[in-house]
Amino acid sequence: MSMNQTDNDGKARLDDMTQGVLGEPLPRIDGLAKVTGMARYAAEYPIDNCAEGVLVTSTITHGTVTRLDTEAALAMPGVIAVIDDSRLTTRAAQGTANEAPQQAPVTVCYWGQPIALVVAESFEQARDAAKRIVVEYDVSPSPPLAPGDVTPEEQEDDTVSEGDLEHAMKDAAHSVDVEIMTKGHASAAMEPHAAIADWDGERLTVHASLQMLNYNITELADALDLPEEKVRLVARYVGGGFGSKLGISQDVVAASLASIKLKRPVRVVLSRQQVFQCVMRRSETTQRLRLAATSDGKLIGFGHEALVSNLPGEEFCEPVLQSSHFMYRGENRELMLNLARIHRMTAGSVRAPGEAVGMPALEAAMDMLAEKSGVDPVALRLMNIPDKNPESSLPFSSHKLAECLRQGAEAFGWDGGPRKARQRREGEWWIGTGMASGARIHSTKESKARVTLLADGTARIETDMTDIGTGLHDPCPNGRRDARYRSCDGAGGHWRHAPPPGPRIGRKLGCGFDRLGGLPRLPRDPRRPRCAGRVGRGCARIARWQGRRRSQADRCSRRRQPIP
Amino acid sequence: MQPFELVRAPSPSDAAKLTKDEETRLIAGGTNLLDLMKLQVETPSRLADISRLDCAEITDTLDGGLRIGSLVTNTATAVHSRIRQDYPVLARAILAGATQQLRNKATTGGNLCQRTRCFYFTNIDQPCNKRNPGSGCGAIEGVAKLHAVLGTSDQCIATYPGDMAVAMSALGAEVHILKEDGTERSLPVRDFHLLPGDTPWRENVLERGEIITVVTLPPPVGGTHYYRKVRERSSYAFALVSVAAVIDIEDGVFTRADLAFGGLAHKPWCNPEIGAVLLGKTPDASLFEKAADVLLQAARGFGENDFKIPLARRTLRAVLSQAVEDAA
Amino acid sequence: MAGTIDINGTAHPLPADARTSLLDFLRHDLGLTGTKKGCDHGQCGACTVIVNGLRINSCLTLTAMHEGDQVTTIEGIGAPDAPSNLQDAFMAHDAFQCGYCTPGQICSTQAMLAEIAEGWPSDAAADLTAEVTCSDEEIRERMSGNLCRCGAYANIVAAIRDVAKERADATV
Repeated sequence: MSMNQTDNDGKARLDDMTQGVLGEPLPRIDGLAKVTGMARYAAEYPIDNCAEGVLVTSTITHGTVTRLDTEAALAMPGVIAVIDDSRLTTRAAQGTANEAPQQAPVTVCYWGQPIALVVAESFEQARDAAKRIVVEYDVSPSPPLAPGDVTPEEQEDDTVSEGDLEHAMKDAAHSVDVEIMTKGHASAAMEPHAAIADWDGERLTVHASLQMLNYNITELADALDLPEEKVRLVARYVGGGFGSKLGISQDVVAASLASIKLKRPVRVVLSRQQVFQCVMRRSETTQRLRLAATSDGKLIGFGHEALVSNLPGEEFCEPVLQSSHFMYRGENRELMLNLARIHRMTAGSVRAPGEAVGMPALEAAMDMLAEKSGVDPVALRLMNIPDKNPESSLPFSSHKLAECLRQGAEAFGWDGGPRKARQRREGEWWIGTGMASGARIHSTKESKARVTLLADGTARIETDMTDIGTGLHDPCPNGRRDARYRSCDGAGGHWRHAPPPGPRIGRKLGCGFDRLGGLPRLPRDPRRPRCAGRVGRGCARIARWQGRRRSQADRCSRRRQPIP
Repeated sequence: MQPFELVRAPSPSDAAKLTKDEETRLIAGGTNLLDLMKLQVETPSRLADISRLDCAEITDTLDGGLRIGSLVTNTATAVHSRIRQDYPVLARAILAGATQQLRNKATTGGNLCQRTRCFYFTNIDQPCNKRNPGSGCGAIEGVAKLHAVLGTSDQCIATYPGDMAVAMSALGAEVHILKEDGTERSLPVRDFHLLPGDTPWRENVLERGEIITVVTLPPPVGGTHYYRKVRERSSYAFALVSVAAVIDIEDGVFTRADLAFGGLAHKPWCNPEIGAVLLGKTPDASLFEKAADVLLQAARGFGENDFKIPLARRTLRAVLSQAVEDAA
Repeated sequence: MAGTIDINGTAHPLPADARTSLLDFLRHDLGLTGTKKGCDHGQCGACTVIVNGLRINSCLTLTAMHEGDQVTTIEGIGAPDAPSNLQDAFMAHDAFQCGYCTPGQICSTQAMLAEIAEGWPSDAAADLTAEVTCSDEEIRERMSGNLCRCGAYANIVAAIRDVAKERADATV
């Protein structure tokens, strides 16, 4: 019997396992800390002898730094050093990069790129001094800034060309051929990126605002040419990420380099302006939607093409067509994703990469088709849901869009009434009705957690997860509501196990745990049954872990491309 | 910020004397000045704290008008019962600006003197004739969404961003200035701000050695007051276009149409000819178009801000239509 | 600089560097990191504190200009062992996610409720001279100076609505 199959009483086996906890509204474990201002974010740890660093950023778009005149800055009160180490990173790492992002700040690729770090005793001293560095550049003329300025690179994995869409468009009873543009976005998390790095001569501990600590350790160690075992990251509270804190940002590396050099803790906080200028943007898009339909609205042709942009040397390409590949039928298909290399700041993951900009464009085109064909917008979607993946012909294991559309239509009283914009006015608001399908791919990957039941009746849960506000401090204790929850703030450092092959995605939370070369075996009281405490039916085994050091050979190979 | 000496001015005339020094700035609420000092757009070597001077009262004038001290905060002005009752356009304009946190600090004098939000002005690496005479204007062929369509020059197309001054212009308020020799002068708020011309760094008539002490409002004229602010979100954003209006419609014709416009120029835009078009006339669509024609006769867009021209027309039309509706 | 400033009932000497914003003074000099730096330019409200009963952006004011003033920060509103009913309401309504804007939201709310009690109108008022109400529209306008990128606004409004009602009922 499968887990979600209901019995005669309408209950599914899964329902029995909620233990009265899962699916119930519960206050957040960290709520009290947050509402009283006790939760500490990256820049807020009281660390003795901490110096303050402020990044110096480029005022040209493309070229080379030929001279960094630090004399005036170094003479200012409180200024300790100017760091212009070649290991400074110039870009944020992409999510799951697992290696250092672009370094060598002497090469400037975009306006606002960090090129050096000023360190002083106080923040005001550092901020002032950062503006007194005199930079000379060898400026590269006319760097391409608009996607239309360059020949784009086709992303061949996305290219689909089946049948004859052009012909289908000509023959169709109804067709839509529209260009839709979307602007770039910034994650704009409330907490600016910040890091406090502390090198004690042996080990580097960094309090930072990051979302994927397992990867971030590798990225940071790689950037610094340090063995990973010497790097510890702590990110207990993260003030929002929305994609901008997936890979290490420049403040983390800069603070680390400064601490190593100066042999004291260094804090670097990006200004709000710097967050907007040098971390991540979502690429703008220019999309072409082509829909060809029969007289009753059935799609016989489906075209979705997009042009996005990124810096040279970046692998990320906004996956605009991600859900378009499977959303709707249409045997004559043209899908293509092109990437233009331009000299604007790094484009990367911003909240729902791909669908956030691809779906609205697709659905706008579908609405245009509904209007042209006179078919009800909900009916139009329903009749165009494919019964198999339209490109691979694989059957769907489950497909719930039709059910969503029907339930939604019923809940909103969709049937009845004219469908048009601006149907009525309330004060200064025009009110109309509309709808759209939504989809978002989800990568299902292996992820790991370790639960240890301790002799004192508490459970320790260790997993590489961070809470950016999603409430993931909570599922850990919630699954063991009857056990006392010891806050995972209690331990220190970040625990790593040997990674499985391939990237780890899925929800990632981080508490801080020390990296342990090998875990002690728990003494087993022979008087107790194998499963101490109630852990719920079906969850009987406790795994015992022996961590092992990850060898240097396991490290991902460098895949950086040279900058043209 | 660059380091500075902080001194407290013991009196308005001391404050006026302190401003004779080029490197000294007065600081009251500080919500504009400190913003610019962090960006090193402003780099005074001395700040004269005037926040505790005795200029923070609102009192009645003998003729039934109102005196607003230069250190009265935006909040105190907007919530004052006489302002709400007799000069609602001013209350509305202030409440439409910024946020409560900022209004609690911003002062009457400081708000009149606030500087543009032009991106090139606020970024010291960019060309800006206002901040760095002769360096050029980045906005004219650059990012110019917030910028002016009236009264521009080839040196500067910045806008004055405030709301309070627009309402004050419509109300015929006067600004009173104390000079360091103890003498005073006053002039209409309408004439306080300057167009950029060839000297975009001059934003108002204040000379060194002068300080605003008071703004006076004439006796209330009644009428129906409007402040319509069009912007990209419904709060905490500067005006793309705004209209301050005091309107009277009696016996089917306009008997008063005091108008001022924000978001369009280097100063609140006040052209008495616009109102003159309406006076004595019956409101109708073609009359509103005529008024808008006068407003926009010399309007010039710079690409990204072309939209302001039709937007200003429609906003004026909407305010006048609303006035007609309310008079009915 | 001579003189002191009162933070949550304790007097502290003013900082030596006149440039020190009240925000940096609280976070760095005093270790009161509950007040947050979101933008440092008065554009987000995360740094909101209450000075002499009025809410302000602590990033846009110099500590040295506040000699003798009384400042209340989130730490002064309520501590973990004794949270205020406002903090309880935020928890009960899940009026936060990442929590970074939360101290500013709470300080802002505290002052806002006092403003309503004083009868101060807002831009949301249809009639400036009418009695001030605490409708959802009023709450949203009055709280517009506190951004929340996690989008917890609906729950923040619900929490505030509850507390406002509680206070209104209490005065009846």
